[in-house]
Amino acid sequence: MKGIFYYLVELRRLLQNKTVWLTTALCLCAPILGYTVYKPVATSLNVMSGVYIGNPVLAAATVGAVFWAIVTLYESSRMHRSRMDEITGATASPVRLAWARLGAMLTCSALAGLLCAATYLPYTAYQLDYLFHGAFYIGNYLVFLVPTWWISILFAEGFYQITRRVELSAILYAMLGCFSFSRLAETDYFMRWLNPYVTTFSDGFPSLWPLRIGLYTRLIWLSIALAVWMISLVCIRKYGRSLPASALQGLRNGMLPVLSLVFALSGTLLWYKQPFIDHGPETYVDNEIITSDCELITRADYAITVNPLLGTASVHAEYQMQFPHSGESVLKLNPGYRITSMTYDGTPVSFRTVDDDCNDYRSTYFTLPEDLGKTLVIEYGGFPTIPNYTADYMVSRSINPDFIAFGFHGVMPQFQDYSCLTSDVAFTLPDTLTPYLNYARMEPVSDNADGTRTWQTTDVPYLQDLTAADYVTETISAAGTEIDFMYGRAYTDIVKEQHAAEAICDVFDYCTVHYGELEFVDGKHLLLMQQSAAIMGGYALPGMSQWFEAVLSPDSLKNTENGANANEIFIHEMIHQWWGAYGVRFADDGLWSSEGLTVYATYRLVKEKYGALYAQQYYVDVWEQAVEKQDRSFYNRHPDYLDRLPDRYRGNLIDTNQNTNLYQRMPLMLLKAEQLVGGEEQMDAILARIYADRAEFTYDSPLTYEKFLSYCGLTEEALRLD
Amino acid sequence: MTKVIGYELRRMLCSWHFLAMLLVNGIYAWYVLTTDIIVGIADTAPFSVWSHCVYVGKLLPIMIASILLLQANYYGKKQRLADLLTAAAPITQAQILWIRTLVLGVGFFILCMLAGGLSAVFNRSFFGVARFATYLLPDVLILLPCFAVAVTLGHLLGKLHPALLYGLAVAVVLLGQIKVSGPADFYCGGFFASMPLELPLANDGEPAFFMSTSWLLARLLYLVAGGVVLLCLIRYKTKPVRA
Repeated sequence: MKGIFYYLVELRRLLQNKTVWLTTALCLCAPILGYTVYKPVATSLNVMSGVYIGNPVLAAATVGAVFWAIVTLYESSRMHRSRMDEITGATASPVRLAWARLGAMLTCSALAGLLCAATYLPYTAYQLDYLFHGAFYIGNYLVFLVPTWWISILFAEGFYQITRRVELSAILYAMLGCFSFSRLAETDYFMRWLNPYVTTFSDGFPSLWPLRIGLYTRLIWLSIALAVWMISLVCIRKYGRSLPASALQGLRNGMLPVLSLVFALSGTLLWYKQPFIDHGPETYVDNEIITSDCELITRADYAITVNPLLGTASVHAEYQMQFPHSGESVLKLNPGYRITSMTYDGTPVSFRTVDDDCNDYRSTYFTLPEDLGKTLVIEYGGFPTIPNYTADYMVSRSINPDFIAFGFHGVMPQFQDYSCLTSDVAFTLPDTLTPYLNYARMEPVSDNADGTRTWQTTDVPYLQDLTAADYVTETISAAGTEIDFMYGRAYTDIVKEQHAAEAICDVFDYCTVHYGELEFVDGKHLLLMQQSAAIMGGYALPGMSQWFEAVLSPDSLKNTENGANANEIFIHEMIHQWWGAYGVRFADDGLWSSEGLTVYATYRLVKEKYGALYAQQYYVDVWEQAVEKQDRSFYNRHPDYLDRLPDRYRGNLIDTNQNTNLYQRMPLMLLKAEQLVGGEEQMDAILARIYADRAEFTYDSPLTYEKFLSYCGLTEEALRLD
Repeated sequence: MTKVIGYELRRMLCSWHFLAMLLVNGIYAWYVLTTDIIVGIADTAPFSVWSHCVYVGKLLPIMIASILLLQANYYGKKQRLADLLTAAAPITQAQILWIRTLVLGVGFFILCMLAGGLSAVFNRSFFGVARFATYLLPDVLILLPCFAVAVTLGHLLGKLHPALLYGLAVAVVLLGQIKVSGPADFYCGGFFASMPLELPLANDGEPAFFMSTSWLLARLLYLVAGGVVLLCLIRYKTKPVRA
């Protein structure tokens, strides 16, 4: 009871304190920095919730945390400076007073956080318009802002109680803060305690993944900060003694060191056992799973259920085995899942899972008895992880109430010694969502009493992508092609207002006139699927092009000057239906690929649509700058030094080079080819001829750079950039 | 006089503060080398003079802040009490100021040697390169004016109020975060990171190292400014303090 009394007294004192009110006022201004100078969330693609929620909240979290640390140091030292601590220490336990002081400071900061959320709510709701979600907005403040301020207060108070020197505490705090801002922690979700890391948000397909990992990292750092603060209680000076003498005295209270140890261990354990990102290498390892000389699985049945609130999935898988593989077999499964049981015709099969995370997989070894024609049943489930090599820029996999994306390899296992002929997939999920398996809509089977619906797809030859969202599908006809245009329900009105269907028709008309008609067999429709911004960029597959959700965000629609933006990614992905996906099959040698020609075709379309000046500024100039930078780079001039670099830097440089080659160097070479063959019309005629010959370019004999040059009548030397 | 210098040197160099500063500077220097410099500055080699100058420019804010924090010890409450005793010694205030500047200079020199040593280890271990002579002149021209301005300004502010020195330490770190690319760049990091991009390439694919007249003039002005402040301080108070 005494503790609560002290807490209330301290809280009343702080609520009447001018410094605390000044700090609150400064914290209320801090989100403005997120609109102007501090923009940690990727904003280049106009994801509105990143611009109007993510950045202001993260800016306020970081800047406010520093303000609260300063006020904590000031208030703590004031007690000491005025010798008030000697008087209060005589009437109450210093440890109990420290608890009360901390509790009051945390309460004040939490109230300031809520005030901050309430202040910016109307503006955010106005800006986000039809994409605003109140719970998501508040969730960001509760997950990122308030806990970061608490962590900061705990560290500041802890450091002061240990050192009893303001300047030393400030230096220690600054060093810890610098660590959070350092290059080491740049793309690390867990190291950044002061400036939480968020890659991007999604407007139309809200993903809780950033909030989940945000909350998790806050818990880790709260545990660590509490451990520091607990140990600082041991160091509270007693009877005017020095730090070591007071600490020895403090250690007699065994609870504090034990609690400190418990919090430190909890933080470490949470960090080590984090369920979000696998423990695989930071770059993709080129070791494709070889499934040759394998036994046959005649049929597989998967029953998938999800828990959207927790973000977990559980799967019941049944495999009809023709012949069991002799000896030990390997099953590769997403590292986030745990196999709970494995039975072979009712008999339990022993298995062992090895921590060898690589390329989104973890291996499980098992041996089947040598009986014929039996059924292997595997039960597994958990929180699917995302691969380490993509974790710093995209969230390819998340299960949420409004959006589910498993991505590739996200739910089904892959066997090394078995190949599967066909699969049936049943998927139970909230009845507001429509699932798509391999980019084809699943069929509804039953409505369940718990607000879920079960969907099914039978006879699937291979399992690739499984996505579910509240989609609206509109079928439009463009240049003689039937297109299923899919978008999130939140965009329904804006799709109509902006005549999105007409914009699609423009792209199709352009490509049909310049290159030729798209060829669709068996009455198949082309699918244009809106994709969450969390899955950066877009991609195209035969009969399917994804389009980035921010194309239709209010900011994108207002902005008419931003070149090479989300709209143009949309155009790029549609053009892939001619070059690289459903049309001409390309060889890929790191320089020549479908990307180069698609970027060039996008440039041509944009030039026709927005003018030569625009195309020159946002395409040609950008390509030239990137190529010049690549040529000047020390490691490109002296590749022998590249081997001396640590893996991380070497990997980054190789990735940058590859991107420049594909998306800038090759388009520039194609522009040179255009000039050498006599201009745009001649180039279009050549491309139309290549497209007409697309049947010749098969998987075994794709369109190589040499073949392209022979179409143009040019040599490699002629296209080389000097 | 020599005894006083020896005493002041021992007092600073053997303090926990100085050892902590050495540690912080060492960690930060290695961090800068292995994250920023390793990729090469402005597309030049990581061991080029350009990259080395940027490395020094990036370290300077922390080095200067460290020296200012050490300087704060000369203006703290305890030191003011001790000043009453030292005032009784046959030594003028100007001499004390010179001695303190000299001692801080030695501390700064040790920090520079640490940074240089780490750079040498880094270049040797990663690239098998050892070149010290080419770094020497630009190092002196970058480091000396910064030290002169910061320490004399530190003396000035310390005399006004000791807390101002902490403010100056924060300010010099913040100044390091501002991107400046002109010859007037105080730390020179931004200047040497942008200059190679404007110069023609030599045969080895990199611009030859070159110190422009405007930059040399700017360094000279900083040095003179520091010297003038120091002289003003000496002239302002040369009489011994009386208890």
